Amino acid sequence: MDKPAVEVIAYYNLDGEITPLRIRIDNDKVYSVDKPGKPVKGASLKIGVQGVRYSCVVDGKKAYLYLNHENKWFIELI
Amino acid sequence: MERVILHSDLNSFYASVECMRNPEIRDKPVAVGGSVEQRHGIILTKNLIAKGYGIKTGEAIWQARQKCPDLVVLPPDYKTYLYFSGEARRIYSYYTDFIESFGIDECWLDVTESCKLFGDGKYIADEIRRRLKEELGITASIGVSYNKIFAKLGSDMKKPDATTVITRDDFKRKVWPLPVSELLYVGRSTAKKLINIGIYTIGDLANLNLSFLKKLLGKWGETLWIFANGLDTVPVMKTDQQSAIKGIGNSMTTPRDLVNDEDVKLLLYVLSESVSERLRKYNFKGRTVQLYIRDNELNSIERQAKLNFSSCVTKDIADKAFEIFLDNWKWERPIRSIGVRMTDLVTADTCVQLSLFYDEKRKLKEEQLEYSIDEIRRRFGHYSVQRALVLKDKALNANPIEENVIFPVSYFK
Repeated sequence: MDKPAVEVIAYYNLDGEITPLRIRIDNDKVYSVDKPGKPVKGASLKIGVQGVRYSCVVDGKKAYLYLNHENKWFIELI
Repeated sequence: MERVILHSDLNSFYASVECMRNPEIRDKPVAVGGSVEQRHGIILTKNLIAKGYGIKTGEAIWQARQKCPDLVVLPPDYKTYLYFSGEARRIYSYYTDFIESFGIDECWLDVTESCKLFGDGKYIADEIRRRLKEELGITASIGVSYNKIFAKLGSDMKKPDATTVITRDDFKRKVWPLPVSELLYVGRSTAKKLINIGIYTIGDLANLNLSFLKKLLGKWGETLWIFANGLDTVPVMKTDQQSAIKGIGNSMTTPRDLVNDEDVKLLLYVLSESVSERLRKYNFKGRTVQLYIRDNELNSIERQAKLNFSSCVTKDIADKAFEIFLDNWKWERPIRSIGVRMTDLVTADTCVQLSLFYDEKRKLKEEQLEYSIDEIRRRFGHYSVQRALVLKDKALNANPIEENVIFPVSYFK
């Protein structure tokens, strides 16, 4: 199954902490990542991804962004 | 003070990881198995649904398919499993630094001191299970007890995703009715010996006369008796997944059966090359060569011999192994799998006694040659430089280093 992978523009601060700023889905639609929360470890059984999870708001909808151990980003709408 | 020991067993670990990251197969029978072409085609792990079809770990994939034609068999992805195993350890390390790995999916934790901080053993166990589920998406069975043996038995009792507590007051009720083969280190042949004299349960074993048991099983008898009575006091050791290396070895189930000395020589060179490469990588030299052979009816033998000097050179290891082989194998049956291991390790740059009867210069040259080959292989790949010998049979020529990453461990370290 294709997982909902997304391209991400992120901000790295001096401590190496990462905050996602914008994501691109399906190669054309760009959304800003609103209200990104503190990253926690998490797994989603729904899309089958495990990694660092950011809760955020994308296009007015609540979503989770995951950064997995292979440095790939995924989105789960909740 | 009474110890509080947890044994955490990640439920059908490989299969759980695969099901976690592939939602579409989650409600199907799933197994992780080796490659059929290379004859590693056995079931390594299966999920609960596959278990319901009677599929067993270790049986051939074709046998499993007969029981369950719809079985989804996935190839193992050890890199990811090691990552998940490390993540699980990260969660454990939140509660204690006494973590002892037992294979890739099992760990003992000594949380005696942490109980003051977090709550009792059961509470910590439940907390760990919750975090494993939430943060990794996999489940674990955790046994809580006052020694490692009962903690391990506890983790086997309820599956999946459950905590089992065994205390001094109820172990006779909970542990003693279990079949004796459940006990750690009661394998097939020990179980047979015990059943022959009417010992069926762990309780039977615990109530036996100790000196009688010693006569029957030797010094193992005492160990098992201590296990069965809950008197084991072995501490949980702080070990990494990479613990101190005592020996380095590689074995291989060969793509076709080995039928003559020539085949064996080739394979021994393939294996010795990989063993010596790893010795050099970790800056070791070995003195004792151990050879392991299993025939096509799965009977196995192990023999060993010493070299005259410590070495990390392929030729020394392979020739010694071949010598052991010729002394010990009579070709009653073809060989299914074969292994070479080096023990008695010393660091490669220790001082050594030079020999009067051996050309030390040549030895040095050989070593340098092998280091150069390592370097070439690192840059251009394993198959960029080959011995002429191993080109004789393409099928048997493999690189065991890349295929074997996970090693079995012993309770007695």
